[in-house]
Amino acid sequence: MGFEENRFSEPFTNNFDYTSFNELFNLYYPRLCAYAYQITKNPTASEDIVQEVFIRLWKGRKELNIKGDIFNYLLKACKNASLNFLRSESSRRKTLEEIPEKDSINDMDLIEEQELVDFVQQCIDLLPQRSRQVFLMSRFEGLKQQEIAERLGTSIKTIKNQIWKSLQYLRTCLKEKDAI
Amino acid sequence: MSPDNKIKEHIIDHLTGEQNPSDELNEWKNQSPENDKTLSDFQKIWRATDFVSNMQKFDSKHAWRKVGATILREQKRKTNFQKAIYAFSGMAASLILVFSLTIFNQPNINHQNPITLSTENGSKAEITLPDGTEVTLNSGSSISYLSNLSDGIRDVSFSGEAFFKVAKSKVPFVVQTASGMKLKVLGTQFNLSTYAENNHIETTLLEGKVELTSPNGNNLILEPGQMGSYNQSTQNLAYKIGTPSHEIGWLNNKIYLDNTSLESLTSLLERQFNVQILLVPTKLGTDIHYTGVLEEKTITDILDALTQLSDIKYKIKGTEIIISAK
Repeated sequence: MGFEENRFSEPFTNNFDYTSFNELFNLYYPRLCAYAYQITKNPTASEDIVQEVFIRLWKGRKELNIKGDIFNYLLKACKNASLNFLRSESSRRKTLEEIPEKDSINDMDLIEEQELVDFVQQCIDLLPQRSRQVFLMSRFEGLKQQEIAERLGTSIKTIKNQIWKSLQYLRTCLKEKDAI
Repeated sequence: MSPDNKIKEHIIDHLTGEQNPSDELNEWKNQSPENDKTLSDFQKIWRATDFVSNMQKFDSKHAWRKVGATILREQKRKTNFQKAIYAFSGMAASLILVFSLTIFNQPNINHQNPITLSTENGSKAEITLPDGTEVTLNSGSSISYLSNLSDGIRDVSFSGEAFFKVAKSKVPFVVQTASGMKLKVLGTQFNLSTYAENNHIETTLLEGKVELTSPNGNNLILEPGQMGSYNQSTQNLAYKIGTPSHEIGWLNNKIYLDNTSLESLTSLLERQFNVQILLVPTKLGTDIHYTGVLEEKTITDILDALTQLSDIKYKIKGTEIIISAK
């Protein structure tokens, strides 16, 4: 699923209805949650944050004047809400955990990072079968090299080789797409 | 220079988080800008796949159940509010403003101003009162309340017909009718019909418990499924035999007739469709009675149905309808 072709094509206007809002939600919800999770490291809070951002968007849709892309707006809203969450959490727990400054996360980098995510997603789908299997087990199932080797009945060396192949493949694929 | 096998292993161990970047890896990285770029590309790819992996843990379909329900409630509240405004037609704009402030519970408004919402003949309205009670007003009905309805006192004045879904609360919800009959409930669903042309005020209870009180101090307690009738001229309260689902048929645009005279039916149709009906001769109204259910949506369809059921014919001139014997 690509970012560019799946960008929400419909302009966000005052006439935004329930159905288009649902589409917008389905398209960006997992991405925005993953992003909030990157900041908060808390899956439940991330879902709450993103849901709240969407509900606020719906309530304010008649008044909001959103310039530019709706996804950029949502991403920034989630960033701010996530940072606010960290701040209130650290004051609640009276800890002095380091909270990223609002401006330390550059909005341009944010968008570029999301584009890279999309290209990576596309390239993963194109990986050769065997490398892909190992890569997914390592990345998506969070298995250690040793565990993958045991499951596939092979050596750690082979696993390392497969991961290496995947990395090489992904890098080439991303270079072709001018994404890296 | 492409990394040798030793460095490959270091890179993979570093990325999979099974080891910190080793000295050899750092050394290799610093050997050339090319090596540095290779490592940083892999790190970027690794972080991006981490992101892709996290995305898969969040399910939008599941989350939409909650978000979709929330925004629907939001929309429904707005629609109810808009319908209520349509029902105002002809009322001062300042009153609409007072109403909108009340709905959204703004402070600093005059709590002594009664707020009246009414429907014209031919229209219905769904409104939500500040305490959460939902009221569906039938045609030609009106409800008034003080703007402090939500904080402690739940008294409303009412005329016409409405279906009430009273929000549960320890504070009784009291409906005052023009003829003096009072209805008191805690949390319940009931239909109340007080049209002036009907001598009887009828209450149909669907859920909960209500208490009816007449001005002369009599009272009647209704259990679910029971109907109470108040005679406006004698001030008597009594149970009534009837079918509760027929009493709330109007909510689904159905008219249930139970040996109903043409006269009562015409006053109902006049309200519902905002028309004037003339019976020629007048005694047709008491001579003809109907039993059954009318589900037709338009006044002409209903009149057509009536001409099939009885020996009458009709003529329409604008909003005036003349019914005469065949």
